[in-house]
Amino acid sequence: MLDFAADTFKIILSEISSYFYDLLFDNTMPLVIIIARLFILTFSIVYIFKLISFVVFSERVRRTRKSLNRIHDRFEDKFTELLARPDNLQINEVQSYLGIKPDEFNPGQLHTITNLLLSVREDIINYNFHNFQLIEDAFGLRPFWESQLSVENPRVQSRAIQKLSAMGISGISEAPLNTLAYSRDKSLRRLARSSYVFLTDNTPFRFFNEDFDHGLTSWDKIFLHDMLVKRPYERLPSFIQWYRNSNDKEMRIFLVNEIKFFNQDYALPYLWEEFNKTEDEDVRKAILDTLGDLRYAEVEEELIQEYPTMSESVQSHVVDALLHFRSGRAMPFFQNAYSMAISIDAKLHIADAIKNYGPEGDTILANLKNSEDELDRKILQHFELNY
Amino acid sequence: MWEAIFNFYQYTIFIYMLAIVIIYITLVIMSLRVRKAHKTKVSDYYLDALNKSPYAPGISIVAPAFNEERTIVINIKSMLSIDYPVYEVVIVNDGSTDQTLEKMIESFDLVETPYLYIEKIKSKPFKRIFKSTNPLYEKLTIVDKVNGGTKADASNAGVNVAQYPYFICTDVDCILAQDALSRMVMPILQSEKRVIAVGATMRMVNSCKISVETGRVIEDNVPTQIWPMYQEIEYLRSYLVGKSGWSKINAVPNVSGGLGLFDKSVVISIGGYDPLSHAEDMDLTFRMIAHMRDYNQEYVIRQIPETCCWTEGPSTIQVLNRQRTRWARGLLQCLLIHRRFMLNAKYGRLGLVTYPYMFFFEFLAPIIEAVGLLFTIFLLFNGGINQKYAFIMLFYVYMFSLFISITALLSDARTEFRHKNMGSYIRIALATLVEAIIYHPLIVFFSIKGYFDFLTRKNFKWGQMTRQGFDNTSEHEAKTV
Repeated sequence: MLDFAADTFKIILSEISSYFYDLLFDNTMPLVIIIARLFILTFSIVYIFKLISFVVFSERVRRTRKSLNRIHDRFEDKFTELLARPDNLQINEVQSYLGIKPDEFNPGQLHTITNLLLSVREDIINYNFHNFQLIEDAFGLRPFWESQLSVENPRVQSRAIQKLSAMGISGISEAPLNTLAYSRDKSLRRLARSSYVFLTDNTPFRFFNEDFDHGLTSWDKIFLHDMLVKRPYERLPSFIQWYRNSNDKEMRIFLVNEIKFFNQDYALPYLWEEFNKTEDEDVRKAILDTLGDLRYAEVEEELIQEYPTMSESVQSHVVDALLHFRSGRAMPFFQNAYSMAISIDAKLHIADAIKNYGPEGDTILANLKNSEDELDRKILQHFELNY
Repeated sequence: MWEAIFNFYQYTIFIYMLAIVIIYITLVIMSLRVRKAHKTKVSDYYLDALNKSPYAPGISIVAPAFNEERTIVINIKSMLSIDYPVYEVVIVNDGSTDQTLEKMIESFDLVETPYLYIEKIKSKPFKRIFKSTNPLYEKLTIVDKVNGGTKADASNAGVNVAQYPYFICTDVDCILAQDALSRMVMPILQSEKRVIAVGATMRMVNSCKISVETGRVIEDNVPTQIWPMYQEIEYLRSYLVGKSGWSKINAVPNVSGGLGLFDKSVVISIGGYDPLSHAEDMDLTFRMIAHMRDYNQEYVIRQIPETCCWTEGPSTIQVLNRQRTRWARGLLQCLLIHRRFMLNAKYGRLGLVTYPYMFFFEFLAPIIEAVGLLFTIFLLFNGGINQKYAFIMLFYVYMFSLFISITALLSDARTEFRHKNMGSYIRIALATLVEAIIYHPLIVFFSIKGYFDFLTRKNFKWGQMTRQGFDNTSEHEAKTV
């Protein structure tokens, strides 16, 4: 048997060596054939390599799934029990209930435990925050994820920021985060700067003073907003202070939106000043939305006066703002704006405002029945049957 | 004289093949980089933050339906159960002659709701709008219109009704992943440049288990039937190697008609889908790019590697024939209509990379393969073949195809190990070993047939797919039959 195997191996070796010999030294072969054979060799090696990688990877996935199942079986019910119970436990009680020893888990398992803990928490509406923190302490999740911030791998660092944020761990050491906040990797840098807002206690808003990072993307706004929402409401500063110093249009729009979101109505007079100063339509639209949502009706008259001088896209935001003010004085304006509007979209938008402004809106729209204009009648029909 | 011609032909073909190999190796490298970069850009935490954010942009799902009574209800249920904060589902009933509309009315408590239809893009006459009286289905809008004969015409009517700035165009037989919208909108949110379209990976639904209640895919299985399985392999190669690679250099040739997220304002600016096109998706992609270039605006088209949609693959050779001849007709038509892009530097990558690639390596490939086969037969009869060299050349092509397939398969597994066990992947890997003999010759034949049909102007109907539907007999799951 061994002899047979040895013979077969020798034959294979000799075939391979003859293949290489022909490839390199056989001058009788045309160039195209030599190139083709080179590619065959390359593709064969890569194919075998990829097959092996595939098997290795599959095995890794299988093991990970198995380990994940084990951790789920061991801790899922215990986490649910600890997070659902109303009484606050002590750390030693939690440790003994979970039945874990210090340093029992490797990084992969701690990652799985974090995910499990977060998913269990998601399913419990009023979970016990105190017990949640004790579970974190029992497994050492905070130091683990903080240490991951210093691993020289952007993917790991980004994941660490996300996990710390998801677990609600704030007040971490600034040093590793500070390094990331000046990283050359733009997405990591912005992520770190955004996470400063929630993860650090000392200077959480320091990057707002530095205009955050020029060219804020929509995603940056979403993540930054997510960090702001996680902070205690009473510890949020006034956003208008940065608006005035900011040179970045997207940052300005973001700040205006956050003023709206966090109901900072004391900033509205300043925003109105800024509305009159700026010529940027997107910023003006954002300011109008904020003035409207926070019902700053003092500016109603001025808005109505300026309305004809504005572009159609800004006008539609003025209509929205007046609708939100609900001062009861805007109906004549709406009627006039409707008759002056040219595009069907604008007419529809204003008619929608008339309909929603108050009971008299229905009467005004009903008058359109007698209109000679077919479009007016269609718009009426649209509103009659869509509400 | 003949010998010189033959030699010239053989060397030309060799260089052509070499070019394909080099292009694909480049695509493999670029797609690996795209996949690696993508991994850091999307995570469960990000998707969760997006789903809770007031900044999430609204998305309309537009799905035309023509005679889809077998699958319409379950597919709409699947669309309505997607995890995304701001979206709507617009189903366009394109003058179905079966019970499609009636089934929708009955299943979703629909009532006719007159609506001021503004025709921003031309389509066949709009008839009416249906909305549900059940708050559970408030996201659903049904547009009933006169049959336009093409998916493009129906999609245009859907875009006219869509209210959000982005829309996903899909087929009504497609099942979208729960997080399809969140994943597909991510490149738009994360890019500093304007992203005008996003594509994602599609798979075959044929052997998947579908929940009857929600219409969701609850078990992702490799198709057991031969044609859908080969089509799945083709899709993996196309999405995970081809389009992903092209997206690295912003040269994606086509955002699939089965699943594509588009910037609505750009689509309206160019007049929507061309109802006369047989490849309306590629035509739309080309025109969107040309529009952005004409107006000197920066743009990006992205392809993400994750699976966001499952579609029913052709289960019989007749359906495969219909599908592939239509694709071939569409390709030829699109290339002819947009011939001005060929090597036209004004259109940037579209003119210098995408269009020439589509012409030389997508359109010409089946013709060159067929001519090569005829030439080989001719030489066989004339004894003009060096068997050893012929075998080497064939093996070279064969190994190249295996290399691309295994790369796509590995890339798929590394992106999202979707199947329960390795057995499914082994089955696909084994199938690739004989793909060159069983499946590929058919595809070449159907492609040439499609070109011939187009050039001889045969009267063809727009590709209506023969649906098998879902067998909903089980309480918790349904399986395609």
